[in-house]
Amino acid sequence: MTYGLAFTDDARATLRALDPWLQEEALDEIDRVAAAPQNLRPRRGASVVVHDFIRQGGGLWHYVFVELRADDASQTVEVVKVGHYARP
Amino acid sequence: MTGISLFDRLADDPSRRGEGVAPDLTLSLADQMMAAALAGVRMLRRCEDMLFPPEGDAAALATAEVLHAEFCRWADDADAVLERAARLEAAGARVAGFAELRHAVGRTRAMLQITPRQHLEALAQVRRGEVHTLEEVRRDLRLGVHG
Repeated sequence: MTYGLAFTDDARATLRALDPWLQEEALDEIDRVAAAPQNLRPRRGASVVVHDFIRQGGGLWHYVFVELRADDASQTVEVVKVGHYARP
Repeated sequence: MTGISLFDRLADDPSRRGEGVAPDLTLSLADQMMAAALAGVRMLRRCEDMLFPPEGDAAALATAEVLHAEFCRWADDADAVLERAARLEAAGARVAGFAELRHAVGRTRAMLQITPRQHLEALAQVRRGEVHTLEEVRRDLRLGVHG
């Protein structure tokens, strides 16, 4: 089952601040994870599921951290927040 | 982080010069600090879900803020260990767990960009329907690149 993606303003703003190549990588990764919404059920007491990935580019390691949540009623995977950190 | 000051003393001790850049004791200390830092983050990660509380739960938010601060302290301590280990690695020594700790710090610092209150504000955006489709975001990002 394919769910649509819904990005908050905050998530969109963080993505906008990334380098273009990393924006594409991040969107592709989020799209890939969202393809299995059954894995995006928060554990008891949690409000979201977290996913992270690492990419290397421009002489830096880029760490991207994403908060996600599947909403079965609207068949949407919500991208709640995105965090990014880069270091040599 | 326990051991940092001792490491700095041993590394700078003039009486130990001539033993090589990474004498056994200094390297052993770095290995143990590395292992301790990795054990620390494993412990904190078991509680990671608590960083992202549901809306309307003041007690959960307070816990999340304490945990966020704990992760911040851990990342600062771990960076101090990495800085010392990097010196040894630059001198040709191999410090066990160096790459693993570097990635653990990177991941943690990416996670820490999101505070518990920012997380709650983003959940509120979802609740208010203030969200954008993938197509809208892709279009917005393209405009950002070219505009």
